Amino acid sequence: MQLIRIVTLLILVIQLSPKLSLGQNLSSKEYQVINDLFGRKSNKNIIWLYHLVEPNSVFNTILGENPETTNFTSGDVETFRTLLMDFDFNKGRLDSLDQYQFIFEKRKLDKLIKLKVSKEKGIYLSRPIISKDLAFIYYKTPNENNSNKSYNEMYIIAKNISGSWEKYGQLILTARYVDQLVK
Amino acid sequence: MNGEKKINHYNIDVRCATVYFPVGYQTCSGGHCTTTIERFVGETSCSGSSGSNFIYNSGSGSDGRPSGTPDGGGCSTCEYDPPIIVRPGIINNLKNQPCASDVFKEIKKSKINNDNEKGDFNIVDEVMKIFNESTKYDYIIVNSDDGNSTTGKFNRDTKTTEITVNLNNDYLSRASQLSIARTIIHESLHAYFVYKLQSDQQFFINFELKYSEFRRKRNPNDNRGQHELMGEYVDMMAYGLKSWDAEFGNGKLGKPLLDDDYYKSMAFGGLFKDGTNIPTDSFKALVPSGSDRLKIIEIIQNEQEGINSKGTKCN
Repeated sequence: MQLIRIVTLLILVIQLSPKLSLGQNLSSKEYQVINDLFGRKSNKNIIWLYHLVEPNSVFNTILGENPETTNFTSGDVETFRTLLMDFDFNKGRLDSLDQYQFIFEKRKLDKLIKLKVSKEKGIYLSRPIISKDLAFIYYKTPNENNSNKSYNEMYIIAKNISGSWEKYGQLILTARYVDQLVK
Repeated sequence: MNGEKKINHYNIDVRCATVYFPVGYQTCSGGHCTTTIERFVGETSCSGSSGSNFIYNSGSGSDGRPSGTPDGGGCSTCEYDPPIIVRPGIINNLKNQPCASDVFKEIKKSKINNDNEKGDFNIVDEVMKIFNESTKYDYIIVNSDDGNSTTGKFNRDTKTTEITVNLNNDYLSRASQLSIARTIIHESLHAYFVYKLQSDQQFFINFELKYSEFRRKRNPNDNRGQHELMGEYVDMMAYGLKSWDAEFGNGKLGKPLLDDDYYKSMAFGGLFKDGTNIPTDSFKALVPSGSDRLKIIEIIQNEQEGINSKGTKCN
């Protein structure tokens, strides 16, 4: 009887917690990218993240893009052609992962990175997509639908330099800068 | 746009002239409309010594060559090389605001004297040049009921980053021309930063190093960081504004120009923490005295409201 209860409880936990269901939560390497970019290594103040990880479909914008015609940063087309050619954007895999809703694990995040449950307060991040020494991460601030508030949505490109991930460039999807009048 | 070329056909002296007409569409959302020119249709009229006339109707393809067939004449073997039409990089979509539209056109034209210490870098010239020449960045200016703002957006279809400057209708109805010129310069600087952040890696890295901390505040976006950075451009904005005023504002009306400090005060417009009247750190560093900052804010507000303003009202 006790065994049945335990098994039932285990099944319930697995079903209610998709991040555990297939063991596909963010890897330690992916957490390292986030911690290096947003944690103590590069900042002094607390940063607030929305607790749910953005779905992998946020990468669809750049899947299959031609670097010749895409506004990647640095103006160095050669660098980014190589970068994209080498990059393992496995669309099938990304789509399959999209059906799960991941939650950032507080204990795996740097102490300066805090989580917010409110959609209006925290920065939205995707899991980093890593290929060799480069990584892409989707980044979005709150207020997407409020045209009278500033807003940023972009892909951040990070590079692993001597074991540490550093910001290397960005592709802006939307950047809105609202100027208040003097009251 | 006209192109004229002599065509050697059956050894007859034939001359052709092409006129291109823009073909596009208008989309409206959020209270403002955007006109997109998709292509140009060329009409080529030819006349020759034999008295024959030809008219071609054609769209401009990727190589700019006409694809239509001649109408009214036998000129299918003509060697014809019409001019390549360059897609406009700066689009003025200001509607029902002729005064603001004129200010924008004037800002694009205003020149800076090279004898000024900042004269080697006219920020307005620089911004307009970038968007005039770039095939990957478009600058569009519109008006709507939304606040004064600059929005950069990556358009997947055209593979361009469209940077849209919006001017608020209510503000345009009250502000002086000087204030509107200042706002256009300010928003153009946002556009310039969007361009630089994406196309200049060193600029991006420097910006991240100096201003990424501001994303950790209550409003986690880059607006605050850009307004801090603008402190470095206050002199340039002031001189750009003075140049416009000399050529198209008070100077054009035969009035004396304003003190340099007045233009500089105007250049601090927008350098506030998001949603407040609290000056940015760079504003405070440049003007440490609180009473001096209050005087500057008063000048900005007077021009913004068109009350006790030294610039002429737009409407």
